[in-house]
Amino acid sequence: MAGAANKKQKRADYRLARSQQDGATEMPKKKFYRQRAHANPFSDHQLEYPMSPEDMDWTPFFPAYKTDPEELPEATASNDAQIEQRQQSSMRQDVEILDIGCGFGGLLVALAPKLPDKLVLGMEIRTQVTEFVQERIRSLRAQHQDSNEFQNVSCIRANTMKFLPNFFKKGQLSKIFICFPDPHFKARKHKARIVSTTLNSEYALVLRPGGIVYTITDVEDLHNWMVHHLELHPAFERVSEGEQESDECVKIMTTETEEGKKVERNKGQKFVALFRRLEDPPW
Amino acid sequence: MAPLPFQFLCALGQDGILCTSRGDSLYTFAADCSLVAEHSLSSRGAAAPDGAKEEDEPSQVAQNGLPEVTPQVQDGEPSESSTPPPKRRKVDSEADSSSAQSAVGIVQPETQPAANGGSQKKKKAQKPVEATEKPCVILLKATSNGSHVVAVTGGNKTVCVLEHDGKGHLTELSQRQMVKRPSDLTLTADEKTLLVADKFGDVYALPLIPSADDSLGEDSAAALQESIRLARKGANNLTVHTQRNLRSLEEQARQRAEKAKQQQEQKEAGPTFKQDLLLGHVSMLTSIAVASADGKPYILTADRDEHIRVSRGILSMAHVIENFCLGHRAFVSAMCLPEPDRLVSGGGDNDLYVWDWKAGVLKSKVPLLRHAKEQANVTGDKIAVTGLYPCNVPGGAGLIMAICERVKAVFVYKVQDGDLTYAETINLAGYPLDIAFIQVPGQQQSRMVISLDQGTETSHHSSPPSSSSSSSLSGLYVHLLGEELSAEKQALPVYPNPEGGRVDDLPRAEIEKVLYTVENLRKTEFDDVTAGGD
Repeated sequence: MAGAANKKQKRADYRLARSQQDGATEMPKKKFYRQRAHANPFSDHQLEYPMSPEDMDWTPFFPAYKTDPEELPEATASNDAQIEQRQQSSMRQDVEILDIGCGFGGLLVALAPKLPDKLVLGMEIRTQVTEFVQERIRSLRAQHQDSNEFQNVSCIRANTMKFLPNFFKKGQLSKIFICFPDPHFKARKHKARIVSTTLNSEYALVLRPGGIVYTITDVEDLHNWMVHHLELHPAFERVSEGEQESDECVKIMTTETEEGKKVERNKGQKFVALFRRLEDPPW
Repeated sequence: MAPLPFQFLCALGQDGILCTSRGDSLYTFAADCSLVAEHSLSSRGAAAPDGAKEEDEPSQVAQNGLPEVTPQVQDGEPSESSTPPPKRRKVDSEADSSSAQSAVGIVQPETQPAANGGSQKKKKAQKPVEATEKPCVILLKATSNGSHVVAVTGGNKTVCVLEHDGKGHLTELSQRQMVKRPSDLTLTADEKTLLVADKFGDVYALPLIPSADDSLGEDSAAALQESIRLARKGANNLTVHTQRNLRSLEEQARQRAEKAKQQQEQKEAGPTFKQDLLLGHVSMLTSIAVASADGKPYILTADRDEHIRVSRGILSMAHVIENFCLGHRAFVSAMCLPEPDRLVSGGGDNDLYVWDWKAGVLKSKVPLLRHAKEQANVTGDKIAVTGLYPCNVPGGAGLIMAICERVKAVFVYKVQDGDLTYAETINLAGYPLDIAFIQVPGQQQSRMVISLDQGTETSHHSSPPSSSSSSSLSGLYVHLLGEELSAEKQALPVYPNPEGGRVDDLPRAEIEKVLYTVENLRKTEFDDVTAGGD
C-alpha cells in the first residue's frame, strides 16, 4: 500500500509530540487515529485484561478516585502481597456506567458532565481509537482542571464479548450503552453481533436488577434483531416508550455519539430501544 | 505408518465391561478382558463381513476366552431410515476444522492445530482433504448404569447414541448431526439429557433418546428465527451513503429473495431434531460438567479464554449466570468434581486449581508441572492437561488422576476435606490418552485402564494382527487400584488387540493430529502489527 509507511511515521511523530507536552489541552486529531471500522471479536488479538475484577487496577484510569492512603485501614499483619497490591489500587467507587464499543468517545464525553457522581467507562476493541479517546479525555481533564470535570470518565481497550466478566463484578453496572454496533449483516456472522441470546446472559450478570441496557442503531434490521433477542431473554424487559422519551441519556445517545451525528448529517433514521434488567427468578 | 491406537475409554455399568474407541469404531471388552464386539459408527453395511455373528454367539466366545470380532452392524441399520447419514465424511480432523471455518467464514485461530500463530492466514488456504469415509470418535461417554453410550464423531460432528445390553453389545439408536463440532459433552443428573458444548462456544441440550415428535423437527425457536430472517431487510438506502454500497445493497436484495426461496426448500428437506441452546461463551468451549449444591443443579463450562462459568442447571434457567471462577492464566481444558462442593480444573497452567465453585473462590493451586519435571522427564516449561479423573479407591481416600499431553505418566492426587495433595506418579510406556475405572465383579481392586499411544516407541509396528490374538496386545494398560495406593507400580497390557484389522494405517503425523489437540489451544504470541489490524 503506497504511503503506508509515511502514514505510520506521521502518526508516530504526532503521538511522540503529544506525549512530550504534559497536560496538553489541545484535543487530539482524529485523522491520526483512524482504523478500519471492523474488528474480529473471535480473534485473540493482543489484549490485556485482568484475571478477575478483583485484579483490575482502575486507578490509572480514574486517578482522582483513588483512595487516599490515609483512609486505608492500617495494613494488617498479613503480609500478603496480593492484598497489599489491591489496597494500593483501591478506588473510592466502582465503574457503574459502561459504553460498549465507545468508538471515538462522543457519548462518554457528553455523559460524564451529566452524571458527575458516577464513573463512566468506554470499552473499545480498536487500539488506535482507544488511544484517541484516552487522549481526548486527557485533554479535557487538562482543560477543566479547575472544575475537576471529566475525572469520572475513561476508556480502555477490551474485547467485551470475551472478557466482560473479567472487568466487572456481578451486578456492578447500572447502565450499559450499545450504540451503533457493527451490524454484521451476513447470517454466518451473527454470532459476532454484540447482542445475542447467549451474550445477553453476560450483560445480565454484570448489570444490577433495575439497570438499563440502551441500544441505538441506524440499521432497522439490527434494531429488530436486538429487540428480539433482548425481549426474548428472560432477564430483560423492554422499557416503555414513555419512559424512554423521558430518559435524559436517550437524548444524549441520539445526538452526541459520533455515529449519531453522522446519521443526522445523512438524514438517516435512528432506532432506539431500552431494556430493563429483571430480578433473577427464585429457585 | 501405523494404525490408530485405542483412544477413548469408558466403563459400562458395574459388570466390568469396558468400551473403547479407535478411529471410528467402538470396541467392548468383557470383565475377563476378552473382546465382545466391535461397532463401526460409519460406513455401515460395508463393514459386515460374511461371518456376521448372531446375537447369542458372542457370549460363548467370551466364555471360551477367544476374542472375536462381532460386528453389530445390522442392529444399526433401522435407525438409518429416520436419520439419513450426513453428506460428507472426512477422516482428517484438521481438514474438518479448516473447512468448517471457511464455511463459517470466521477466523478462529484456536481451531488451527499449528502451534505458531503467525501463519494462520496461510493455513486457512489449505484445501480440506476429502478422504475415506471414516470420521474419528472424538468424545465417548456412557450413562452411569452403562445402559447407553454416547459417541461423537469428528468430521461429521455427529452425536451417536447407542444402547448397551449389559453384556457388551451395542445397538445404535440415533445419529444427530450438530452444526458445530462438539468439544465436550456430559449428561444431566437424571441422565435423560445430553449437554453438548461446541467449538463455537455454545451449549445445547439434547434429549438422550429423542422422542418421535421431537425428531419431527420444526423447533419453535428455529422456526421463529427462520421467520425473522426472512422478514428482515438488512440495511436500507438510508443507511448506506456511497454509490458502491448502494449497488451492493441492491445486489443483496436480489440475493436475499433467492435465498428465501432456497431456505424454504431447505426447510422441507433438512430434518431437524430437538436441541435447545442453553448458554454460550464467545470462546471455544473445552469442558462441561454438571454439579449440584443444596439440591440444585448447576452447569459448569470452561473455555479457551481462561473462564469457568457457573450457570443454573435447570434448562429453563440456564441463562442465569451465578458466577465465574476466574484465575487461570492459560486455557482451561479439563474439569472434575471430586467432592460435590469442590471443582478441580487444569489446562495450560502449571498448576491444578481447586475451587469452591459455588462461591467462585479459588481455594488453592496444586503444582503439576513441577512433578512432571521431577518424575516424568518433562523438559519443557509448559504442560497441557488432557484429563482429570476422580475415583474412589475402595476403603481409601478419593483420588484424582491427571494426565497431560505427551507426558508418559499419570499424576495421582489425593483429595481430602476439599484439599488436593500430590501423592505420586505412575510412569507409563507411552503417552496416556484416556482413563477409565472398571469395577470387576468379585474383585476388591478396581481396574484403572489407560489407553496409551506407544507409536513413538515402537516404530516397528506389528503387521496386521495374526490369528493368534495373544501375540498382539492392545495399547490398553491396566493398573490395579487397591487399598494401598497403587501397590503395583507397573501397568500391564492385558487387553488383547482385536483381530480383523479394519483399522487403516496412518502416517504418524496424521495420528498425532487426531490424538493431540489440547496444546494447540494455547494462545501464541502475536506481532503487534498483525494484531492491530483486525
